[in-house]
Parts: sequence; C-alpha cells; structure tokens
Amino acid sequence: MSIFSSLGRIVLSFLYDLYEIGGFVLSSVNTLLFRFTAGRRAISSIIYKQIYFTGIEAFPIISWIAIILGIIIVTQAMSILPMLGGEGLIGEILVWIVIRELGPVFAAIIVIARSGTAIASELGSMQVGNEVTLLEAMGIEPDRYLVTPRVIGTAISVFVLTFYFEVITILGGYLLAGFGKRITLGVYISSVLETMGFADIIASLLKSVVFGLIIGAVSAMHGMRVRRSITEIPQQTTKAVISSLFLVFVVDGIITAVFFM
Amino acid sequence: MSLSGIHVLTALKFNGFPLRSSAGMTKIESLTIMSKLIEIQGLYYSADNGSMVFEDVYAEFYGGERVAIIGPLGSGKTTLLRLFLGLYKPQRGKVYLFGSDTGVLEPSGLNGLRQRIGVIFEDAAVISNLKVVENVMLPLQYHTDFSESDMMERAVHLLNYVGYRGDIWLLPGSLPFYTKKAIAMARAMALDPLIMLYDRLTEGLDSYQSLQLLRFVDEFHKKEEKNRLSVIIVNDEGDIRDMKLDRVFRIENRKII
Repeated sequence: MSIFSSLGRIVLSFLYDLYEIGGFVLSSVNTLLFRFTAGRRAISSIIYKQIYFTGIEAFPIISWIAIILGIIIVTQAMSILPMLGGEGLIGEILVWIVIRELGPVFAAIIVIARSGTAIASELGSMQVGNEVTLLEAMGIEPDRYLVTPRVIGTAISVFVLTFYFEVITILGGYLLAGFGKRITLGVYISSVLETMGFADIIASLLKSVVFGLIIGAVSAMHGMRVRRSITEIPQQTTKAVISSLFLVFVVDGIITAVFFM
Repeated sequence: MSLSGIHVLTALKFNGFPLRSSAGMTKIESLTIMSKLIEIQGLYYSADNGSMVFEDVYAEFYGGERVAIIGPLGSGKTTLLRLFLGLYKPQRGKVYLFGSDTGVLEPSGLNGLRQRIGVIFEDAAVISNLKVVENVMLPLQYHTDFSESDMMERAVHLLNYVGYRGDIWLLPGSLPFYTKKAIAMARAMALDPLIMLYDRLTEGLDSYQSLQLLRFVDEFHKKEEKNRLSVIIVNDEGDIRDMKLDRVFRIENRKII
C-alpha cells in the first residue's frame, strides 16, 4: 500500500470523525434549544448527574491544581519582573497566561482525564450490555437520552470550572506566593482588572464552552462506537482521550488566532 | 401480590395507556380492535457478514395470542425480534407493526410504535447506571406526563408484582440474573404494552425461577388488555413444556413454519 493511500485513509477517517463529532454537538444543542419536550425529565436528570460528576466533584482537584499553578506563575513573575523594572506587568502576564490560555486548557485537560474517560467507558459498557439497543427498543433515542445530556452537562461544567480555575489561580497565587512582596494585593488585582479586556473574557468563556462540547461529543462518540466486545472499551477510551486533547489544542489555536492575531 | 395492584393508575388511562402523543400513536389506538399486530411479507434478511438469515418468510401474529418461536442457536430468533421492532431493516420484503411498514417509517413514528411493545432481552439489559426503581420508571418518565409520585407508585407496584422484595434504590449490577430478568419484566410492563416480546426468557434460570416468570407472562397476557400479543422466543421444544401457547412457530432453513 502506498504512503499516499495510507495518508488518504487517515485524512478521510479524521474528516469522518469531525463530521460525527459535529453531528453530536449540533444535535445536542438542537435538542436542548428546540426539542426538549419529549423525555425532558429523563434527559434533565442525566444533565444534573453529569454536572455533579464533571463539575462539582472536580472542584477539589481543580482547586489544588489552580493554587499550585498560581504559585508557580506568581513566583516566577515576581522574581523576574522587578529585575526588569516591570512590576506593573504582572496583570498582563496573568491575563495573557491564565485567562487567555491556561484556564480553559487546564480545566479541559482535567475534565478529559476525569469525565471524558468515564463517559467513553460508561457508554461502551452500555453498548456491550445491550442497554443501548434496549433503549431503542423502548422508543428512546440513544442520541437524545445518552449523548445530549452528557455533551451539555460537560459543556456547562467546563465553563464553570474554567471561571473558577482562573479566579483561584490568580487569587491563590498572590496569597501564597506574592503576599508580603513589593506588590500589594490592591495593585495586583487592579493590574489584572485593568489589563483584562472584553476580548480576553469572551475568548476564555468561548474556549471553555467549545472545549466542553468537544470533550462531551468526542467521548460519547468513542463510547458509542464500542460494539459487542468488552476489549473495545479501553481501546475507545484511550482514543477518546487522545482525540479530545488533540481537538482541544487545535480549537484553542484557532480561537486564539481569531481573537488575538 | 395480585396483578390488580398494577393498575393503580386506571383513572389516568385513555383507550389504552396515556402515552404522550407522537407519530403513529393515533393509528395504534384505532388498531386496538384490529387483531393483526405483526405481519411479515416476503422477508429476506442477511446479516452483516453476508450470510442469509431469512428467505422469503411470511407470518402473521394476532392480538390475544400467546405464540412461541422455536429455533436452534444462530437460527435468527433474536434477529427476528429485532426485525419486529424495526431495529433491523429487511433487505427485501415488509415487516408490518400495528399495520405500519417499519421499513418506511420515520424514526419518530417507529419510536411511537415501540412504546406499545414491551421487550425483555435474553441478557435482561437492565440499565446499569440507573437504580432498580429508576429502571422501571424510565419508560414512564420518557413517554408519559405522570407525576413523580404516580410513576414511583406504579414502578413499586410492578416490582412487587414480579416478586422483587429488595432495596429499590440499589444499582442492579450486583443483583442475581433472575432478579435482573424480573426487573426487566417489570420495566417492559410499565407502559401496559399491546405486544410483549420475550427473548429466551427462561435461559440461564432454574426450573422454579422459569415457572415463576412464565406465571407472570401468563397473568400479564390475560390482564386488562384483551388484545395483547405475547411472543416468546425459545431454543428448543423442551423450553415450551410449561408454557400455555396458542401457536408454535419454528425457524427452519431460513423460513418460519
């Protein structure tokens, strides 16, 4: 087989994945906005469970990682900036690094590790156990009942976790690493707020929502691809993680380019 | 507990079970007096690997009947059940469900028809991430406008009816196989279906457990809905020994006879 045909197959497979992921995202948003009557209670109940698992249960680990990251960034900034006479740049550094990039990306990575894997393996197990076929047999559309609430619940969770991560990183970083240094808390906060523009906030929030939709859809897609063999579950779970990470970084680059280039 | 306990919500009934309207439902209600509930005409079906499963098959199943379909392993019994439900599409021929051709129905119409069918898969297929009572409530929650308390009441009655005496808030994963089948049976009965499909119901159970489940099949068949069709799929003659049946079909050489 020539290298071109192999390459062609990889590209086609990637495009097909994108098509399917896009389909899951659009169908989930469509269900939420326009077709939320049938099965509303059953779907809502899964959305709440997904938000609890992906969002609320992730707060402790998000808090720890945000505080540690805040300490690292503030320590580095506080040690380098005074030497360059640029103490006032602390706000720019935090906004550029935490708000624009690390907040959404770190929240997404944590959610992929915790919930993306859980979604893919849970749906995979349901496929192997004939539960998905049974739902169809009961007149319940698996995409509506299983995929939509997971995609929507993950998107809401990543959105909230990103905002929380950014606040804790900035505040926690200063309180633990910057307190008592030459920059006061007031200067520190006002420096961040003055630097933060509308585009920074919108880009950060947009990234978080899109990342959440991607993680939910990619994980659900790989989970639903499991057929009859239990050995497919870890394979699809691994693919869900890799694909989610890849797409999150690609979309991060695209949104950054659109907003800041 | 007697089966009468199931119908605690009789006041909510309207010419059958009060399902939320969807495409196909109006037609079904008018069909409750029609007796031909499933019809197969000239069915050809081959599996994904290309092997022919059914060839030029004709069969009719009527309301009020208790029917068994016998066939050895791999003969296509479960495939037939899935063809009834419109989960598989025939390559040629027609499968009519409540008079509608499943091959041409829109997904919403097909889902409407499926609400009037109770299915128990061979492996029970109890939803693993829902509690026992939530499993039984799921079709009610999805397809009806019952209040939470009404759904809960009906689910508990159905669980009691099939002999479930355990904790209704357990996840079903660790429960014995018989118990899972009983829960699946309660769930299948939840919408008071016109057709009950049992795929190898007694497979993997001892004789006492099999008799228990067959008693529920028999009682539910006769209860309330006079036009109910019960289709029981089994592996061999020995499995139908204890069943009360009106007709027995056999799958032989890719045909139903």
